[in-house]
Amino acid sequence: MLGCREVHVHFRFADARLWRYVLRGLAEYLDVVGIRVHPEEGVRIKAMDPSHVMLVDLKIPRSAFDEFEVDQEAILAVNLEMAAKALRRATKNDKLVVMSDGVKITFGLVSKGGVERYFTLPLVAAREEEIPELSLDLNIVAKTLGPIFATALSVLEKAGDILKIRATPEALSLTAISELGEIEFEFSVTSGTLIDYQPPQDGEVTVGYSLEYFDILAKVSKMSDTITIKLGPDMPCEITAELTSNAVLRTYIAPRVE
Amino acid sequence: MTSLCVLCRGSKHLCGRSYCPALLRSFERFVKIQASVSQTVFGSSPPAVFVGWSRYPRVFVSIGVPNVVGDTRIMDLPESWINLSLDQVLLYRLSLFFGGKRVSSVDPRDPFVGRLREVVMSWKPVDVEVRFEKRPRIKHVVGDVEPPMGPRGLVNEFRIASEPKIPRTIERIVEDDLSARDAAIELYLRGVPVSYIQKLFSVACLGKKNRRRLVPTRWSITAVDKILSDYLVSRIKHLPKLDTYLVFIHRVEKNLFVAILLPGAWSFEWMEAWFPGSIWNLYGSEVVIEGDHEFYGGRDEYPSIGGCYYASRLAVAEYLLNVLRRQATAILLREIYQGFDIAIGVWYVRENVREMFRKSPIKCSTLKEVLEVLDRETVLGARRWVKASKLLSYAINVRKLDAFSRLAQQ
Repeated sequence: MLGCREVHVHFRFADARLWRYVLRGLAEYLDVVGIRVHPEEGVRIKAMDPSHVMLVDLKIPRSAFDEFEVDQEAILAVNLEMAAKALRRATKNDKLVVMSDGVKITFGLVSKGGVERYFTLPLVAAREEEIPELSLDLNIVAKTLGPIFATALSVLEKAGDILKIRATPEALSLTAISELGEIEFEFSVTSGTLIDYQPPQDGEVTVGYSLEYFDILAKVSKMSDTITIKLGPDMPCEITAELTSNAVLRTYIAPRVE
Repeated sequence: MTSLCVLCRGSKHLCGRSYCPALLRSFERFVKIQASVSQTVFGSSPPAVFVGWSRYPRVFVSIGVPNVVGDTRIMDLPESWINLSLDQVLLYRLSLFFGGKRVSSVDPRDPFVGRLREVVMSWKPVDVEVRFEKRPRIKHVVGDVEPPMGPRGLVNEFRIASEPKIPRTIERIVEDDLSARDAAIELYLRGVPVSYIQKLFSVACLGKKNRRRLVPTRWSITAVDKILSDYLVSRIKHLPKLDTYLVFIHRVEKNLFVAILLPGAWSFEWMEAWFPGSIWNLYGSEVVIEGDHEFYGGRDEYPSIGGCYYASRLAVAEYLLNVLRRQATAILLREIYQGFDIAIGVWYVRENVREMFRKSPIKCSTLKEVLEVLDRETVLGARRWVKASKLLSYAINVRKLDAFSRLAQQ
């Protein structure tokens, strides 16, 4: 069972928006999520949508926090709808404070001017869902800047429901397809839109995904330094957003078979 | 224009006309009824009420009275119309005369509204006399959300001639300072019919005392369907997942309803295919398919398909929670054929989906079998439905991460 008793958790994170985006995105698919806190390792949120198409793994090391006091490892099971509501006004100027005694959890938003808003929610009892360990052979690797990827996704999301990622020896292209037409973004090292690119070993690879599952990434990418996309033929994609102070959001999305 | 009709349904004037040609056709058939309308009506109100939505927040509130005394409850109880022919339903509905006045929806303390509220709260028909200012006229006979309606006009005098029979439970909930949501759920859990809750909601009987509002009938119908289905869905999410494939089929009056329940977490889709010659595709030459869906987390936006989305969602949620005791991915499809050229209200969807779930399902062991059933039973066929349906397309085309787990590969 998730949940814990008599723990002391108190940490402060520099950008409350990350939590807002991740918890709001997960609330689209889940009722409850377990926030794992560890005295040495920091914080981890790992969750899978109920259809088992998307896996989200957020790791924030202890060093990424302004303050971090956790006396023992614990899982704080949070009602996502309530948490997302509490954090919906979090801006880039807000720091996030999280406190818990094992019975309830408090989210605090501390603005630059020192205004503090606190939202206390009860922790919920929930059964921990087993999340499979994935074994993926992903040979194609592309690295780009977060804001570039975010802009591309925000346009693609409006254009269609299906995202085709095509890797050729020269470039990586993202195409959204709908009944009305398609939009394509091409990323390459020569154009400066890719920082690093490891193309397919032979020929080209095209894999399709449902764009709906890229919603969290579209938001989090805005605040990430770099985005690494890993692909393989007919395989899930692994997209890693490298965030401030070594925090990492890794997302796996299962492919479509047409 | 045809796809515009499906999205507009006579309410938004998307075709640019100031009137709806589709509704006009329905209307013309009933104009002759006007000849029998007199200026005073005495009869037993089922009870029936109508709150218009035009010129909101100054809304037209009216009480519906037939020219008959006795047990008229069936005239405003969609839950009991499922075994009636459409002609019979129309006859009942067009026998109701609606007398009312325009009032502010934000100030429901008007004495006329107060007396009307007493009638609406009654469990049994209430004898009422309505004297109209002038002969009432038929305006919109039919609508896409509210049930068909008879002549209406401004009321001069309104008299209650028998004592309304208000159940104590209803009285207590109306007196309580509950939110409209909590009150609607409480009434539903006590077995009060959905249409009755919708009437109470409409005439400002529910909600926090100082925040009660008159709610146009078409909005209150959808609001109650949404509130109740949201509540049921929140409970369904705690149930185990369905582990087989079930298909339900229901044919009625040039309509085909199909429900596909797939194993998996709760998600829902409602799709309608309007054939040329059906009400929202009267002048088209091709089938128009429209629909909306939600995943596990629900929707943030109002579905473009309209109130029938929540009416069908309520019916499927009732079945999953109360009968099947499982959560599932529910895909509901409806084919509307040529000749079904009347907009009858969302009760038709709610009650027919409920009726469909009273039948035995076809059990399938694979998705392929489901598609075979769909091919056999529908006119459009599986291929066309899969192309139009987001959830079916997901079920067929999206792989699961489990297939890539270490465990699966060992």
